[in-house]
Amino acid sequence: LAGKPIEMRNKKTKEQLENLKTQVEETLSQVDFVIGYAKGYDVLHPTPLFVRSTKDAQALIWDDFCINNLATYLPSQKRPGGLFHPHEKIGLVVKGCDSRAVIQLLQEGIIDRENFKIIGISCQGKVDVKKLKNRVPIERVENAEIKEGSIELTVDSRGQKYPLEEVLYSKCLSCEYPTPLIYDRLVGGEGSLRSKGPKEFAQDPYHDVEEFEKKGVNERLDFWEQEFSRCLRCYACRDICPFCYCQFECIAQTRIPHWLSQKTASKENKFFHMFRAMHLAGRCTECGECERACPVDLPLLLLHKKMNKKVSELFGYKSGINPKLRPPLIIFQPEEKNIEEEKWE
Amino acid sequence: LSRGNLEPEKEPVKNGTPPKIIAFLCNWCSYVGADMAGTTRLKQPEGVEVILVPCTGRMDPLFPMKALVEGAEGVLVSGCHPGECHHQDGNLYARRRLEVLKGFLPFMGFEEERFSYTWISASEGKKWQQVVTKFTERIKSLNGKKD
Repeated sequence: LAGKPIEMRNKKTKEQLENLKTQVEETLSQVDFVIGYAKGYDVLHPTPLFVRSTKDAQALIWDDFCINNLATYLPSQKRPGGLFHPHEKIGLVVKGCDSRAVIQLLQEGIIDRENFKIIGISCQGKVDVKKLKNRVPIERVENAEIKEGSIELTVDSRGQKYPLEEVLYSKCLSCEYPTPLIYDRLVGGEGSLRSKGPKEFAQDPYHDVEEFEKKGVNERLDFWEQEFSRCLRCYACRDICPFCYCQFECIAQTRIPHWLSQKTASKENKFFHMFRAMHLAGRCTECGECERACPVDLPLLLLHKKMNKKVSELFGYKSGINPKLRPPLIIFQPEEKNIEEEKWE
Repeated sequence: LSRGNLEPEKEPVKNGTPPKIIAFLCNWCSYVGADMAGTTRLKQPEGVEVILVPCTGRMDPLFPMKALVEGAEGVLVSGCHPGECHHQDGNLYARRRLEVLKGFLPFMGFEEERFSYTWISASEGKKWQQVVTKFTERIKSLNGKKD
């Protein structure tokens, strides 16, 4: 593990915060408010902050736990009865992975580019609190700092240390876009940080999907049966998803058509997650917010990654990269190169 | 004629009850094809339940998904051959969506043989018979393996 970039990392994160505050203050003249991160109820859980004045901007933070995908707020803008006044212009702090969600929403015509400003911020990977949870009582963590390739936690006034690759988000370990793909202002500057993701422990993004595919069909059935029996159907995964913007028309809750009963048996839960995966096929940008929001830790990203893998194999398409491309499931080719149909002979 | 002669001769069902198979057929081709297979008295397997769809473009990938989750043992979708869609290109949209679904179902623990789609035109009653017989056999042998 290279020590040097990590040392730089702390320094850079602090520099980034100062830069971020100035950028947010400058953006405030163009928009009604900027959404950024603030300290939450403890050091591990930053919370979204709506900055409406330069005074508010002082509460902004930027650290190794700012994981929330703030692009989730954007579809609210055009929505009647949404969170904001329809004419309010929004400023948004986005990381590389979140910028893909912004692009995908633009592609789907859900948001108008002139109605928001993006403050992009280069990111070097965030710490997964769910991974920490297995190691320490997270409610008693007093302080957390990243030093030389490991995270140092103060729990009950005692120090504990874990290697960074064990506690970073899996999506960060396979991050391809640490710098946002779309922005009006950029914090960190291209190339001034390490231009690539945390290369030292890079992973193949679909390695977990491939591993799961190797299992037998009955084993897979049992696995999902067991996982979905825990699902509470609280719809937190759906509500936090930037692309689940159907609101009251979501077929999980509509009565006409009545696709799904309210029962929380394994069968109904399975169908709910299956159709959500189907609806997100080729749209999901794998930000992992569904998994983070899930109160019972379901491996939801596995489903969405599988769908995206299939879509990229069939149509060579990746979501949230180019706002001008058309989603693969609403177009077709007369001759599909990668689809091999059954011959029935 | 005695009453007994009017009733169709029923073959005794082997291996217990026939597998529950749902077939989604396009109004303009496969449904007519399947009808033709019936009128020309081609022998067809039992247990296939046909649902008429106005076009395979109407096929929401959730239909087969829901059928399988609710306990269907196999789902077959059939529409017009590519390029022959009554509504220009409904089947071409369907092909993409059904192919994605086909790749996804095994991941969720459904054997890949349980879902398939094909193209059968209105004149291909014979082909319908072959496809549906083969599909039913496949499901039967799958169920046999499970027991």
